[in-house]
Amino acid sequence: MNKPQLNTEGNYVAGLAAVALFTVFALVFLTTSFPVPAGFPDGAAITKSLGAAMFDIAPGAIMDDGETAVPAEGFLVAFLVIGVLLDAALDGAVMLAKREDAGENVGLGTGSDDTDTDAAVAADGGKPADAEGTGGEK
Amino acid sequence: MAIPTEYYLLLSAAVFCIGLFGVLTRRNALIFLMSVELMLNAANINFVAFSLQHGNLTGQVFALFGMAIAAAEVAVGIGIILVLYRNFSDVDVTNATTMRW
Repeated sequence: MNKPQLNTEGNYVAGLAAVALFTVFALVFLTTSFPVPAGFPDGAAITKSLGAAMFDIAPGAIMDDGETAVPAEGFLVAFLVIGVLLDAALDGAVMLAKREDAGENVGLGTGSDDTDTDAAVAADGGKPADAEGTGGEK
Repeated sequence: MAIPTEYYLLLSAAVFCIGLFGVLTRRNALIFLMSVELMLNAANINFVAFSLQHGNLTGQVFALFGMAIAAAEVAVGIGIILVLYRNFSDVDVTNATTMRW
């Protein structure tokens, strides 16, 4: 086995559900008629309008001559909430990944009592798990 | 000359169903994460398509927020996969069927 091979593990019968869902979607979308897209006017400053919408700036205040603003709602509060969310996600990721001491596992349980350490590892080409040690890098 | 909205929806449905296919058939947690990303991005395609349909930029701004949500989700997801690998020496989601404390 020294060449790339197609990964045939997994349950491809369940994937038929996804294909069937796509068929339903395609039938629905192609039999529905939409009005002609309203589109954006000529000379519309899309990016400037996006910035104005995201920070609740009046769009007319930052437009140059010949540029027209595109209407949008204000998203300043949503922007700040997303900022807090990203911060929280970063903290959560660091908390999950952190080890209290070198070699000691934190999180769902400890891996030191694993009995299946000689099982094949799906992530590294099927080498035995104990070749690298089960506690990660020391 | 604008592309009809149906084709954007078809593209979005295709991307979503590819993501769903991945979630349903694969066992590697990393590929799970990538598949969920595909499904999130299908929603973003719809936001942008309907933004053009209505001539209003709200959908495009919301798509930007969708990308930020996706980034947060990946950060937490990678952390969870890291813990999964540490505890089960594997990232096969079918192994982690018991919750050990």
